[in-house]
Amino acid sequence: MLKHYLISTLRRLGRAKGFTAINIIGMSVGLTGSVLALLLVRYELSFDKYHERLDRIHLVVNRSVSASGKVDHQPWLPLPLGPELLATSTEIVRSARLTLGEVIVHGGSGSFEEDILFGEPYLFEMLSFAVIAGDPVAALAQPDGLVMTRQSAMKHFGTVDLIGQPVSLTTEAGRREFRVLGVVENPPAQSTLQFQMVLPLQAWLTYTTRALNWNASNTHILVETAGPVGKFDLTDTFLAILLKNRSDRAPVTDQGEIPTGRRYWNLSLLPFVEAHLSPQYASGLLQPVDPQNLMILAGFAAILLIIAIFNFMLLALGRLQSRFKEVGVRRVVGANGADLTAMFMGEVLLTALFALGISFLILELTLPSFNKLLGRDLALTTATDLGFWASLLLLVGILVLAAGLYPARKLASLQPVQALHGIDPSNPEKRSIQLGVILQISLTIIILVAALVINKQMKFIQEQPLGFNESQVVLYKIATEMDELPLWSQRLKEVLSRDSGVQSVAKVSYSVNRGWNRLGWRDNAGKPWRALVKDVDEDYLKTMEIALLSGRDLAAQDGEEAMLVNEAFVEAFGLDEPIGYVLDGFAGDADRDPTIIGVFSDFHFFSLRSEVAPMILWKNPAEYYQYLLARIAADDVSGTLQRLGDSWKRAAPGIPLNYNFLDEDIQALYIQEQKLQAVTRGAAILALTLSAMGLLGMATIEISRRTKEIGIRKVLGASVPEIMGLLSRRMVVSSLLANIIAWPVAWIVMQKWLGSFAYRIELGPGILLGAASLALLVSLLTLGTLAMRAATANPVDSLRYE
Amino acid sequence: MIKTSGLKKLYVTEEVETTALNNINIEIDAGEFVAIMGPSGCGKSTLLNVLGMLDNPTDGEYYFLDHEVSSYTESQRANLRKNNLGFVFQSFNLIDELTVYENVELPLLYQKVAPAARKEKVMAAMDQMSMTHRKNHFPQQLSGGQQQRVAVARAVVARPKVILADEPTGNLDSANGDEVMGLLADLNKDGTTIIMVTHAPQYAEYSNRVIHLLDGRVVSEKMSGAGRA
Repeated sequence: MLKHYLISTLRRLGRAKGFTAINIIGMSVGLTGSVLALLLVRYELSFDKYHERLDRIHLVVNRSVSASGKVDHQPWLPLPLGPELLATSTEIVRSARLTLGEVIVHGGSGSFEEDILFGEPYLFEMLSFAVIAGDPVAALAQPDGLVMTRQSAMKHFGTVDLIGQPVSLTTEAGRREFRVLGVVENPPAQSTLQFQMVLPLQAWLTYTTRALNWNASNTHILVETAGPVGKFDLTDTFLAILLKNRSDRAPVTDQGEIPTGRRYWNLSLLPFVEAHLSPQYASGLLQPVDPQNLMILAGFAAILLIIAIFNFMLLALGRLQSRFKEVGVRRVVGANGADLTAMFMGEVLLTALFALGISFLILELTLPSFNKLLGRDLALTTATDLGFWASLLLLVGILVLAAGLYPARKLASLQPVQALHGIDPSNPEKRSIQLGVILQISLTIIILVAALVINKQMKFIQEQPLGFNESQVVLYKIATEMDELPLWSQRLKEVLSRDSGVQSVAKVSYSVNRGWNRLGWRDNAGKPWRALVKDVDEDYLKTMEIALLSGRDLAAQDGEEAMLVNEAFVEAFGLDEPIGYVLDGFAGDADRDPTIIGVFSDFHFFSLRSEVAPMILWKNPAEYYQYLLARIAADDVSGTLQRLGDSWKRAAPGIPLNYNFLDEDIQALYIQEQKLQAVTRGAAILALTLSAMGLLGMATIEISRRTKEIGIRKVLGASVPEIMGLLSRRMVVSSLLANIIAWPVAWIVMQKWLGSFAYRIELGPGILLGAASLALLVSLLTLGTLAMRAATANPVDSLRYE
Repeated sequence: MIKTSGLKKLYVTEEVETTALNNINIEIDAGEFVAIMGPSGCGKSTLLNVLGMLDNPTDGEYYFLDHEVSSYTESQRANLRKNNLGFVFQSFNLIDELTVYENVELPLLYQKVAPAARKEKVMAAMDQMSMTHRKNHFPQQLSGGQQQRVAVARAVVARPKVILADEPTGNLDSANGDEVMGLLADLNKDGTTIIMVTHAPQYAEYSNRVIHLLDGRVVSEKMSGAGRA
């Protein structure tokens, strides 16, 4: 029986090649998208799972609430909080502070800059990184200990057999020797923590000055609890610690009241396993993904699959009549409803399995580029886990049931006489078919709206004036110890400025996507202030082409007493006459009373997701300028860069040449969105193609059904345009009705997505109408050629068709 | 074997109500060859469909092998059908995607006959209809007469007690028509009950009883051809 069904199904599929192709292509595209989404979602959900004590590892995080109720999620915490937690709480058994840093490695073949972690010994006890040699825990307990990964060991020394090997490193604190005391395997790709080397926390310059400072937040803290998650309520512990050390940030006052008019902290534990999916805690160290974007991707995959399901279902319903004779005969010779259902579902299953095979083929071909796009290493061959295959099985099962059940029921419920005589019982399918077409078009419109919105928003971001001129600006990083920064920043600025291709050079402490510094303080009257503080020299506004709105720019002779503020600062603190205003109490220093000398126009230092924050530009007396910004002439850029590189190497052979264009850093702020944009565009094109294919199939059926009607109408004098209109009318109506479903859904979803941008496009009727007309246009083009052929055919041929 | 009493079939649409069968009382014994005749639209095919349990009557009783089947569900009827009835149609009704062999095999598949027995029976039926040499052809590759022989083979393959034939010669020329009628007559001789709807008086001659219908009623019943002999 199985063989019989298989043979007759294969022959039937082979006979209706066009429809079979539409179904198999549709399903394979839908399945490809779904498998990709499945792989990706499973990949992102399985980050950090390899740590043995994962159920007890947490990040301490801070949801700080401003006076106006705005919540700021921060994984950055004061350094002394780590030991204080260990000392105060019996439930916290281990803790490790860690932060990102950079060093210059002086190896045999030259000096290389390397991103590293500064961390505490427990790091390697709490987390399960495979040890190759030595003892990483002991290594971090030594002031000169060093842990290397296999990759960095191989890169710098060509071997992992390095225990005891001295390595000369330049950190911010200066150049000195460390010893390799531990070598570990590279962190897996699905690890939140990525590093090449780990140095002891004591080797971090900031640690030496801020280890006891509760007023600066500059470390991550990992803790291990005595038992699994959920058993611990550390609210009281955190409260006690804050009241003792930062009472001004405690969530309740000494009297137990919720504070008003000031910012307060909510410290809590974030299970480490959730860190990867908590975008609100993004930091340089934690690079989480946004689950919302994963959901959008999964949504696209689902929509493609649903369109394929609709195609299958609609074509099956449309062609139901062509199978009446077969069904009737089978009935007559003894098939019952269950037999017929099984037969039809078998056909669907076979089609789906063909499609699955093709989609695996497509995946093999496309995974590399998809991986490149997403920065992941998804693979089918490594998907040996049962969960994946179980989900896939479920997916195919859902696909088969959703696509086949309704037509199968219709087929199986036909009475033998009706079936044999080709009587369509009052043709109730007409309605369900039209409803299906409407739903299918509405899904397409939803994806189109999403693609148009994301596209427009990204274009908006790209074209949005940032408040400075980001093109032709090159960012040079000065990687050397901190004490040498004042000297080298000045010397290298002079070197770069001498070049004829350079228009101006500025020294800065932070740049876009390269760290920031936010300070809060109280003035003498007790008023709280909070602003981004950026150390710059007098050439900054000029180099960046930021407009000065009032007052004067910083000058060479200005010192720490002169400050520039942005418009947002003036507005946030209600300064009626900003010029000349004295910011007493700035940075908690009673002796320093800097004065505002100028106001510059707002510029976007962060991504357009956030609003422009109050900002101060000043010349930091410490002169810790880590970057030089050079505006270069537009002509012969590569020649200029070449000359600048040569001069740099001559002037500072010990400092690695490290530069890039500022606009690259700005683009990097939107990597996730750019990925989303690329994926959305692809999904929209596929959705449109699939639904056009489905409509083509539907139109073929419709026109062949109406061949006789067309012939009669033509004999009676109908013109070609009239026939075209007749054939297109239902499609146009369906396309229009689809908007009723698509618009509200698309509007709500995309409005939510846009909501995460502080600066965004208006989701107006233009985009909705655009998507609607695109869908209508594609439907009409699809239908048009077929309708044209039918309408221009010789009427005798149409009539003879019977 | 077959007995109806007060059988009635109405077709009701929103606008009109058509009486296709009206108070049909007939009785057919095992081994009979009955022809049903009458003008177009008189209810011949409807009667055959009801007798073949392809359709339920609107009213009245229908006894098939002592089962009162007029109110059976489709699946109950399907069960009775596949074990007792064979059908031959005017338009052959072979499945285009199946070969001659597979078309003949179909009833046995639904009866869940074991593969070895199945093959034997299919070959026997095709041999009987002289279609063995065409077993791997598809229906479209055969002439009308050949197609109808395949259809007859399919109707007899499961050795049914009754064969219902709806204008089996309607689409055939006279030579092929004669041949098919000869086959049916042979089957009848071997003991199979045959009920046939036909327009053609010369083919009614093959039967031993002719039932004439007009406007859904039986107007006459008389012994004929083989019956008189």
